[in-house]
Order: sequence, then C-alpha cells, then structure tokens
Amino acid sequence: MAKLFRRLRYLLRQGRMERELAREMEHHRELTRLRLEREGQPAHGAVDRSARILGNVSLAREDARAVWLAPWLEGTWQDLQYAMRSGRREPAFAALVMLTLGITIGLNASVFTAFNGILVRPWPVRDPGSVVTIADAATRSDFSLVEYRYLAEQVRSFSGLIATRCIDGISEGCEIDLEGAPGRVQLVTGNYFDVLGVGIERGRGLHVSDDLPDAPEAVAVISYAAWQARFGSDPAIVGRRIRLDEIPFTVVGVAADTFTGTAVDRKDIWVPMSAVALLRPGNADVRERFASSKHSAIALGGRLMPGVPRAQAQAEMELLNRRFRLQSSLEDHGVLLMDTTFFNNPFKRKGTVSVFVMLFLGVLLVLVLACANVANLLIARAAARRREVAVRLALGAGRWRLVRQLLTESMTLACGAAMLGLGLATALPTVLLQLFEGPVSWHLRPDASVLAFTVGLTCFTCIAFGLAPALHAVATDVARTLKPSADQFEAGGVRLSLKGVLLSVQVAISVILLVCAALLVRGVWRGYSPELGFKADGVSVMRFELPRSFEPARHQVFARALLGVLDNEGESGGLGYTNLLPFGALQSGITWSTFRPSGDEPSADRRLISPSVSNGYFEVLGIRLVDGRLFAPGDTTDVVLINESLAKEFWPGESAVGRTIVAGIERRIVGVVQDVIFTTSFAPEPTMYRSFGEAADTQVVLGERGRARAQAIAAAARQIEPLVRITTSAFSDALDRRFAGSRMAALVAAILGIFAVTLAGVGVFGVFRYVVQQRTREIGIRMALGARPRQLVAFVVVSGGRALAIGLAIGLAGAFGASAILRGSLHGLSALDPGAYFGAASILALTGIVAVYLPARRATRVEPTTALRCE
Amino acid sequence: MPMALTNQPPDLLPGTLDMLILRALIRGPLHGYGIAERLRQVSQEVLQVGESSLYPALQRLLLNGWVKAAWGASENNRRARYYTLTAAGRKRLEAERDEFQRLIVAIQRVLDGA
Repeated sequence: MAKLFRRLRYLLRQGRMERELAREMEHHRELTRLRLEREGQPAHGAVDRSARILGNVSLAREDARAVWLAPWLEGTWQDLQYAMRSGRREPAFAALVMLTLGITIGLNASVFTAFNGILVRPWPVRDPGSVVTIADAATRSDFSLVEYRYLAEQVRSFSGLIATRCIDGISEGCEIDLEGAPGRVQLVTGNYFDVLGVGIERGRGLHVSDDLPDAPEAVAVISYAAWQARFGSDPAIVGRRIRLDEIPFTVVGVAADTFTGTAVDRKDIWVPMSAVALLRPGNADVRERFASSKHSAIALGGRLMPGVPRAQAQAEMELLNRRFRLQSSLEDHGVLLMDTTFFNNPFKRKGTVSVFVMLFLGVLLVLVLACANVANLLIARAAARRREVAVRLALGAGRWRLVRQLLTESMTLACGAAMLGLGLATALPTVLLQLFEGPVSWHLRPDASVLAFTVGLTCFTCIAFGLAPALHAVATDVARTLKPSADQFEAGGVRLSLKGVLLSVQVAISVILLVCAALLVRGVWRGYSPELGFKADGVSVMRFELPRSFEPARHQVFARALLGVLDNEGESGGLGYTNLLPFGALQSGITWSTFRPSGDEPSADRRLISPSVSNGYFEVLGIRLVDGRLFAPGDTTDVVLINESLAKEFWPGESAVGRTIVAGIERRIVGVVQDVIFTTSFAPEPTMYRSFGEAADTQVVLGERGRARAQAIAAAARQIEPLVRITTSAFSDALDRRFAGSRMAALVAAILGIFAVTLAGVGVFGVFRYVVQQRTREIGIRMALGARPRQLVAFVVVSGGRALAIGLAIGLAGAFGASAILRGSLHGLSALDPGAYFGAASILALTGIVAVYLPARRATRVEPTTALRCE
Repeated sequence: MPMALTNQPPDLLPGTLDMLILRALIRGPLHGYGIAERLRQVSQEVLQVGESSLYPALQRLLLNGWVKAAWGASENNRRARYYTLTAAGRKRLEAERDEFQRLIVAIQRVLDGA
C-alpha cells in the first residue's frame, strides 16, 4: 500500500523528480571527472573517461524512470492487448456491446448537451459572472418601465442597469414585420450593448443618446443571423434603411455571431426602448402601458460594480424597490437577484425543466437497461470463460489482477462506446431542439462539460456493467470448475440469481419505456384522427395582416371593407370566414366568454368559446347542422348557434332551438351544430357561434369550389389597403405545425421504446441461451430418460419465468407512475389508455416469446449422447 | 592505474547491487557519487558502479521504502541528494545478507566438491 502511495506521489510530481535525478547525475559526473583529474589524467581525457565509466546517461535516466512506471504500464498494456484480442475473437459480441452502449451514452450526452446549452449557459456577454437578472421575489414577474428608471437612477452597487421588453407585451410576443416578413424584435434600453459588453460585428451598438424618451432615434441593431439570412450579408448594411411595421429605421450595427440575445427565443433586431412611440404611433394603449407604474413587462438585468458582492447589491435593490413601491402604493414582495443562466430563473424555467426531467428519466432508464443488458451478456460469456479464469487462478494469478483485467476489457468497450456516443451528441441535440416550439437560438454543441459528463458516464457505465460480472467470474471455485465431473446444476442455480435480478430490471424498464412510448404515440395519433369534427384536407386559409403600427381606426376600416368583399364573393359557396380557427390559439389566443342559460343564477357562470363565423364556414369545414337553421340575412346580432355538447348539457332530451342563453347579453339560439375540437384538451368545449358583427382578425377558409376566387379577394383587399400582407396556406399544414412538438416527442419516445424493447429482447435471449448452455447435461439426461421436447421447453421457460413475472409487475407499476407525468402531452388521452398498454404488452410478449423460444428449441435438439459427454 | 578497468561494472548476481548499496549506507547518509566511491574503495577498485546501474537501483530502493533521500550540501559546497537507510532497509539488509551468505556457502561447496 505504501508502495502504491509512493508510486502515485512520483507520478504526481514526475517532472520535478526527473529534474532532480538529472541534477544528481550531473553532480556525480562532475565529481568523477574531478577524481580522475586528481589521479593525473589530462583534463580533456578525464571528461572522456568519466563519460565512459558512467555509461549512457539518458539510458540510465530512462532506466531509473522505468523503475517507477514500468510494472503499471506493462500490466495495463497487457490488459489492453488481452482486451483487444478477445474483442477480435468475438467481433460480433464487441460490436453489439459497443453499439448498445454507444447509442445509450450518445442519448444521455445529447440530452445533457441540450440541457447544458439551454439551461446552464449564461448570457453570451462579456464577463457573465458579474451580470445578474432581477425579478420580483414573490410573483417572479417583471417590473414597470417607471420603476426601472427610478432604480437605474438611484442604484449604486451596479455599474449599469438594463431593461428589455417585447413590443406588444409578454403574451402577445415580439413579432414585427421586418421588410415584409415576420421578424423578432426586442426593445432595449440605450445602455444595453455597453453594459453587457455585447460583441459587435459591424457598425456600433445602441447608445444612450438613441434612447431619449422625448426624442427617440429610429435606429436598430440586427443580429448576425438576420444579417446573413435577411440581408444577404450586405456589406453596406450599416446605414441601410429598413422598414419595421412599415416605419423606416436605420441599421447602425450588426451584433457578433456569438450573441444570440438575452431572451429564450431568437431575436433578429434590437431597437431603443423609447422607439416604441415610433413603432406604435397614435396607439394610446401602448403609450399608457409604457408610462404606468402598474404595468409590468420589463425584464431587468444589470452588471455589478467590481468587488460588490451579490448579497450587498440585493440588499440595496430591496431597499430601493420598497421605497418605490411605497411611493406608488404598490405591493412589495422583495426582489431576487439571479445569475443569467436560464436554469436559475424560476420564472422562465417552468416549462422547460419538466421536459428535461422527462428526457433525463427516459435516457437514464435506457442507460440502466443497457448496463443490465451488457452485464447479462458478459456474465453469459463469463460462463464460457469460467474454465479460462479457473486455469489462470490455478496458475497463481491474483484475483484482483484478474478483476482488473476483466475491468480493462469493459473499459475498452466503454471507451469505444463513448466515441460513438460523442459523435451522436454532436448531431442529435439539434434534433432534440425541435421539441420546443417557436424560434430558439441556442448553439448546441458539446463542450468541455459535455466531454466531462460523457467521460464520467462512461466510467460509471463501465463499472456498472463490468464489475458485477468480473467479481462473479473470479469467485469461481477452482477445483470444482476444473474437475470434469463438477456438479453443474448447483452452480447454475446460484449463478442465476444475479442474472435473475438483471433480467427483472430489464423487463421492468422496457415495460415502462414501452408504455410511455405507446401512450405518446397514441396521443399524437389522436391529433390526426377524424374525431376532430371538421374537415381540414383541401381547405386553404387566407389571413390578412396590416402593419401593427397602423392606428386602430385604420384596422377597423379595413376589416369592415373586407367583409363587404367577402360577402359579395361568398354568395356562390365554397368560401367562409371566421375570427377563430380550431387550434388557432397560437395566432391570437382563444377568447373565452362567460355564459349561463337564461333564468339561472348569475353565480353559475361557465366559460365558452365564441367564434364569429359566416354560414360558409360550416359548409367549408364540413360541420353539419343538427337542429334548427343557420344564420339568415335578417338576423340581429343576438342570434347564435351552439354546439351539440352545450345543447345536450343544458337541455337534455329537448330541442335547444328557441331557448336563450346569457353571454354578455341575452342571446337567442336558432340552431345546433356538430361538436368540433378547438383546443389541445381534445374535449369538445361549450361553443357559441355568433354572426360576424364587430370585425377583426378575419380569416377566410376556402373549400374546393372557393379556391378559384382567392386571387380576386386578394386583389380587392389590396385595393382597400395596399400595405396589407396576405398569406394563404393549407389548413392541414397549420395543424401539422401545431402538432409538430408533440409529434417529435412521440417520435423520440417511440425510438427510445423500440430501442428498449430490442435491448430487452437481446437480454432475455442471452439469459435463456445461457440457461440452456448451463443445463445441457441435465437436459440430455432428461431426454435420455424420455422427456418430451415440449416438457423441456416448459422447463427452460419456467426457470426464467419468475424473474420475468417480477419484472413485468414492477414495470407496470412504474408505467402507471410515469404516465401520470405524461398526462399533459397526451391530447386528452387517459393515462390508463387500454390501447397503449395492450400495444406495449403485445410487443413485449412477442419479443419475449421469440427470445425464449429460440434457445428453448435448441435445448430440445441436444443429442443426449453429446450432452452426457459434453463436460 | 591498471588498464583492466572496464566501463561496465562486473556482472553481479541479481539483487546484489541493492544489498551492497544498503551496506554502504549503514555508516551514515551518502550521496550517489559517495556510494559509488565507497563501493570502489572498499572493493579495491573491483566494483566500479556506473550511473546506469546505480541510479535505477537507488530508485528501486526508494520505491520500496528501504532508503530515504534528502537534499543537503556536499563537501564541495554543492547541493546533493543524500540517501539514508530506513528501519525497513536495515531489516532488508540483514535478511539479504543471511540469504547471500547461504548462497555463497552453497556455491563454494559446489565448486569445492566438483
């Protein structure tokens, strides 16, 4: 032990040790020369002779060093060679193990890469360590612009305080019309670029002088990506005039490639905070929002003064915040200072972390499964090598030496797998990123911490799958194994217990993964099934957008004129319009109204969806009228249609036509139409259709017959308002995009599930093959005594059956638990959906049968005479 | 000076050099050159130990914990590494010496008897 310690110490200080040795030898040489001179040798001859006496110096140094290092290196080199040799001897085995582990490690490293890149990475700014974000401690919400100005003026522990905002608030988003196509804009305070130290590719960042509240400059900085994609890397971009919501702005700079913004989503363009007055002229609402101390949509951040600890800055911030809120009679909850990583911002991480928890759990389960599987394979192979190990032990090999050797073998496999895994981790995260909806901007590439994670994971896997079989292998009773008549049955029984546990683990995990995968796949399937209640195929949707910088009155004039055009064009059918399409929530948000049937207590208000539609809408989407009539030309605005669910709930067994409900005002029901699924709850919500009165957000749906008139409508719309942007797309494409996230999740889950079941199948197969191998002799005797093949198959199956049953039970229990987490992504599917469980069970059963049947059949093919001779 | 000097030390029985170094250190700490000199003088110029075998041997002894090394000033006022016998080294020396005696006696007997 002490020797090992000394050796380690040498390794740690190798450089110094070698220098000391060199110095020592130099001294020796010197003294030898002096002695020779004293003895009467001429000076030059003495040098020569002393060199001859002393021999080759560097060789001596090598020899001295080898004393410390050789046995280790030599041993490891031997182990490595041995591992390579056994890998070459069974290339299929080595390839299988490396592929299994490689894919598993790759999956884990990919999830970690995404996690690292999205959640743990700070803002891409200069010295991110001294930059913090600031949030209200209780509500986690943001601040008002008024409070920001107060804080920025008073605060002493920050070298600069910055604020950012989306142009139309948090919920409405940051979308803007950038040169005729949608772009993402962020309003920032004038000191944003200077305080954060954002890298600039061209031109300059924004300055404080651009952001004067009374005289805002129409200037903008664009992102590197936008510069490349939208402006073709225009070398003369600085100074170029661009249109934002049809308002001219001047580009003053391009941010560096590495700067992807300080928000979760990608930003294309940054403009001064005060420029909102330019972008939304004549809009009193927006002005009000920016001037009120109650309206809070400002995200705060800042750079600490050098040397100021975060606690001190926090204390000052709290004090200032309290003073401000007292002054403006607002509630004060204290403030929270956090670093800029996404993960440490509880307000922002909400949705993302749960996704990662699910992903991590999934890939971790696969990892455990893979380790159990490889361990099983190794044990099975160790059975074949028991003799070899016993011979080595008998020849005097140390048990630890053998364990080390076997572990080196696993390590070699694990290293190969890690290479494969890292390769996977460079490609896969970008795919994973698609799981998140919306435009995201992270650079997801493995870095040092990913490498460290992978190496750690590899060591862990290596020990997890290698140690148990290695210990198992050297725990052999030498005499017994080498004796030809050794009693194999007993040994087999003992050995099986560890394998049994591993087998149970495998079955349990694959049940969990398969059930989850099946649930997700079924959930997505549901999103495409015709149970939605409307027809999307062959339907196109036309949308009209005016620059948001236009005054509200101008929007209304356009909308009214457009309705006139549409009513005119729609007379011959195949054309309808609405302000809310099913699953259209991404565009404008579903508006819920409250209602109650007439005569009920006002307290019994319920929520309903109330789209405004034209009769043509029902026709184009194929929504049938089940009772009463559609809208008629003379109808007043209080005439409504309701859906079947609503009618059945309030007037069961009777006709709802002629009844009234109160939604704002009292409304008369003239007809009942089929249920339509509107939201991702996938349940029919109470719905009330109104005829088009107050027009806004008009979306035109065109059926087969109406398609031809799209041109005419577009032309007419442009005549009313030349700056209108018209987009026409297939309704099914819009739905596809809406479901892209969950479809990706289901795809990932299905891949994991199939991978899991393949692994489990290989594992079960390995175990039963091993059972057969172990019991060849016993089976032979039974055959000789007249046992039938069928009985023998049963015998083999029973020997592994208990482990299978236990695994199945644990797996089902785990799947119940896991599916509760998944509930949100199931599109209204029950977490106990029998279809999913049945599907998973049958896939597993099928795999199990094949994996058990093949070895069992082999058992019955054993020639009794061979079996009896075989050991 | 006899010209019979070789630049290689005479072949020693394996392990003997270690024992001789330990023996040389029994009277007190010496540096590498000192050990070589001591062996040369005591053996009357028969054992000329070169660096190529001395220093690996010293490393071996250090690794096994039979000697300790420490830097000190040499007689010509230069820094030199002095080697000291440890308790374990002393024990080792005794054991090796007994074993060696036995071996020598055995070899002698064989030579005489043949």
